[in-house]
Amino acid sequence: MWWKFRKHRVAVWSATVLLVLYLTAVFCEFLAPYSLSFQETSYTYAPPQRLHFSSEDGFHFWPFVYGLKGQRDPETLQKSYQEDLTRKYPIRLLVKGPTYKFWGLFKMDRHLIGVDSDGTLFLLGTDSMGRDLLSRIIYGSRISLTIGLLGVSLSFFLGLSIGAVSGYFGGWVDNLIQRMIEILRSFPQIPLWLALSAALPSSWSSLQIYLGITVVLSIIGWTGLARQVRGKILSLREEDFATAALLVGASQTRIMWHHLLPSFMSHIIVSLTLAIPAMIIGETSLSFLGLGLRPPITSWGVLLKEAQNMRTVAFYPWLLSPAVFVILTVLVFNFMGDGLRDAADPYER
Amino acid sequence: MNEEPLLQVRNLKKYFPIKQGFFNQVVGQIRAVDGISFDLYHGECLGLVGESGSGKTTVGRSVLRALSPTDGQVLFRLDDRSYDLATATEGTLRPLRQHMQMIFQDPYSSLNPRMTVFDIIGEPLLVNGVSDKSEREQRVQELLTQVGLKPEHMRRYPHAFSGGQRQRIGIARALALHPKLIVADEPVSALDVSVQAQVLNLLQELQENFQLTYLFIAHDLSVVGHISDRIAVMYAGKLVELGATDELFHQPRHPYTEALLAAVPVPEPSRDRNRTLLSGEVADPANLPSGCVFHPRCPYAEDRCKTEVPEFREIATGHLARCHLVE
Amino acid sequence: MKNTLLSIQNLQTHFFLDEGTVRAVNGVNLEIPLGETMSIVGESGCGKSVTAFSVLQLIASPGRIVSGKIVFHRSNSDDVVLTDLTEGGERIRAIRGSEIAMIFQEPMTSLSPVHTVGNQIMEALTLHTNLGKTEARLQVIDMMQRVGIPNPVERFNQYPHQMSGGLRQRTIIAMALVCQPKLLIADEPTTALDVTIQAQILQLMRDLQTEFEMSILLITHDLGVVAEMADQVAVMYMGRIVEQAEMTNLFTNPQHPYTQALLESIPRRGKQPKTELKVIAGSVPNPFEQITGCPFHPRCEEFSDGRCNQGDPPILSQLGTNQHVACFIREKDKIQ
Repeated sequence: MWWKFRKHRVAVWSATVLLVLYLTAVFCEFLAPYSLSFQETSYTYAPPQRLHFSSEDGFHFWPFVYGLKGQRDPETLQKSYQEDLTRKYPIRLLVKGPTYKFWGLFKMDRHLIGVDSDGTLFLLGTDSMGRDLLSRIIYGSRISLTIGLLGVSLSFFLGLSIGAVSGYFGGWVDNLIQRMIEILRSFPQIPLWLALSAALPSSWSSLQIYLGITVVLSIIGWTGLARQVRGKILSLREEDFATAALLVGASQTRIMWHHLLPSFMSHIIVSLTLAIPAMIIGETSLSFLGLGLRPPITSWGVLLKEAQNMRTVAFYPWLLSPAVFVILTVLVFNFMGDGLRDAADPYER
Repeated sequence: MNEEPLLQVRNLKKYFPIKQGFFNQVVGQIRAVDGISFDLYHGECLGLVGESGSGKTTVGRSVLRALSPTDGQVLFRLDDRSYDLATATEGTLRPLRQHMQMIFQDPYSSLNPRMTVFDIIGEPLLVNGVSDKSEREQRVQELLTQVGLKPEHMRRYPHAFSGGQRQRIGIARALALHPKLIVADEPVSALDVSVQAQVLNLLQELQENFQLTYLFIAHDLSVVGHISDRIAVMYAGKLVELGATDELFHQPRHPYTEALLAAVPVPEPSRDRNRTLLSGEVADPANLPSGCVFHPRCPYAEDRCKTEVPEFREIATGHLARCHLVE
Repeated sequence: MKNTLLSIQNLQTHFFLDEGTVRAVNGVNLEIPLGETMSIVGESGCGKSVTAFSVLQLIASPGRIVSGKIVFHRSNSDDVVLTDLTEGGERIRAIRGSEIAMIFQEPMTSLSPVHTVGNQIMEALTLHTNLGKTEARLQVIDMMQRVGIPNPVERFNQYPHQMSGGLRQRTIIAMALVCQPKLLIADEPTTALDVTIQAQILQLMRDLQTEFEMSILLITHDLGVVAEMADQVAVMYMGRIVEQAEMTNLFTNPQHPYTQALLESIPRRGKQPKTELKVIAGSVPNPFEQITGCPFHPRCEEFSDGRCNQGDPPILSQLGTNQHVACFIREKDKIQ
């Protein structure tokens, strides 16, 4: 199956992009130019700084940014920024910056990229409190990307076992489970999520809320997988090799685990890959509506919530950039999932 | 044959409910097997012949309890004791299963494509307590040789083999536990002519070497006739004729058997191409005619045939038929 | 000299796959006489179906007719070289369904599940004639009657799933014959049917053949069906015809070792039961393999080293009236 996957160019590229995204999530503290809470109050709502490669001195191989000079318009009290051409700050690697705790454990202060401490590197601008948006997006990726994984694992476990039982045993067990699934699925998803997450006590710690949201998201999520598993098992159950196993005396458990499930493992993997983006969008939506994660936890949805007004769209559009990351992630997951699905197509003859 | 039969099937029935509606209400029955009785003696090969919808495959699976019969008895004789397979519990069945195995029709779906040949043939052994791997390996190699394959083949996967070879693997699996009874469900129908011959020869050889008893299910009369001692003909879930192969072929007593024999194309150029053929469609087991199930197609049908179900009667020694007109 | 309806000359149809080239049809010469049934018989992989598909340019990529000619001799001495026609072009489409028709093995997949049976048969008519709807409908019902579909007026509006296998195959035959083609190509038309239905369908085909003065190219693996239907028989092995004869000759006096072995490996009623069947040694070779000399030599009982495994494969040479064999040994015997 992996050989076939490799043929699918787009899928392979997508997988690479995903790998990069997840690595970013793992090493976010190191990769972000600033720490999560770092703010420069003199630079609120600063637009993204452009990287330059050439100045009046000619072409520089190494990119740099100009310093920012802020001014306030005396009438509208709007802040506006210009590049201060007199100050040049080349991008430096492994720069000393604000301190952070790597994975919450190790105190470090080195960042992959940054500029000298009297300069600013706001590649995606800043928000209302002068916090670097790019750094916050990078930190946010950790939450947004992993919540999907956790939720899907839960769905996977539930979906697989309930689906298998439903499909293999049939009869009233199957009937009961299927009706239950139908009832669950007939709930409108977003209102249900909203209701459940509103029910989460606000006194819970960030971690508890994070886990709570995961559970909420998987409550409906498992039903899709369960149905697929059930369908597959129903068809495989009648296959001759399953009957043969029965006739030599294999127990039903053995038939289910050893014969039936491995036959469609690849399909399940594909399903999962395609279920993760749904979870990511779920979390983003909930947080965007204010009913999912809340600050101080930072996820892309939380970041988008802060951009939730007309002023932002009109004057500070860069605050909407977390949406680009969401879109990117969902797209690459889908492409990779497509590639996996094509590769997994049973071609056994 | 004076000895006790190995298998006695009495009034076997298997109905499949037809469900409709939201609550899966049962609105009718598919009478796949509708009261079959026959005896199977040690060491013989009984052919079971019929077209689609006749119920022959269902009989095979019901006899081995891959399906649970709706009614009737399947008495299996082992060591002077008789066990009713139709109603036995899983607990009683488990140790009996090793004595009866099945060979399947489709060489592609009967072998798990993700298991090696060793795993496939070794599974019966593993499941029945042979936990020592080297012991299993030895036995698997032995079996592979017996079916005409090379012992080295056990490391490979089914997709590396041709249809005929896969059938041999299936046969080796069936033989693993030294069964007494083998139900062969269309074992050569999916194979090419020349491969068919090889597998048929193998089945005969194995029967002689291991004193096996076969229930040979097929739709091809010539194939069944070649390997069977006796033949049973099924139509729409019922047995319509049962007798010794030679007698059945030369003196068929049921109009359906006669029609089958006339219909089967044979590689004989001298045959009259304009002989009478059976008209009408094969009976639908969900919607069976009244009286004799064959009457709508029968060229000899009388009034009686439309209302009365004929009995399965012995007309000559060992030769039975279900027809009002043979009496 | 009988009139030939279709002549296949040195046909080569190859499939170009990643693993190599499969010469599915490797030099086939065949003449189908007017009004008679020519049967191509062989086991799976011998190339019989591919030959049939090549006639109507139905070979899909990665396959292609590499060389050879197929000439359709129309009644008014107007020959059409089918292989020259553009694939998917107007001319070949005009011929398909009207002058040369084809039926396949699986009746269920050959019919569209969402159109009525009547409409499907009518489509064949309306594509090739200028008949109005009413007139066409009448002709369709007439055709349905002729193929033995009971209650054709009612059945016209039925869907395929409402019919049995036998009726579906009759529908397909109706579709194929509604324009009264000169040639019917039938690829394993009865393999998927029950025995008693098979016999009915074969009889139907014979009756319609006489009625329409049609030729049939019958592809099958079943020698019994050949005996029922064929006037002429061609036996194929590994993409080549190894024996071609008048039907009775083939059965009473088979010449090619493959034909002989095939006939002896079939279980028959007349034979002594429970005797061992003759088995052809070895197995069908890998389709990518190129065998020097006669393709059958690795399995042949009469193999002669030095003669059979050298050079080009043998070509069909005449042995008797209406019997041709492609075998070095037989040729040699004949000369002597």
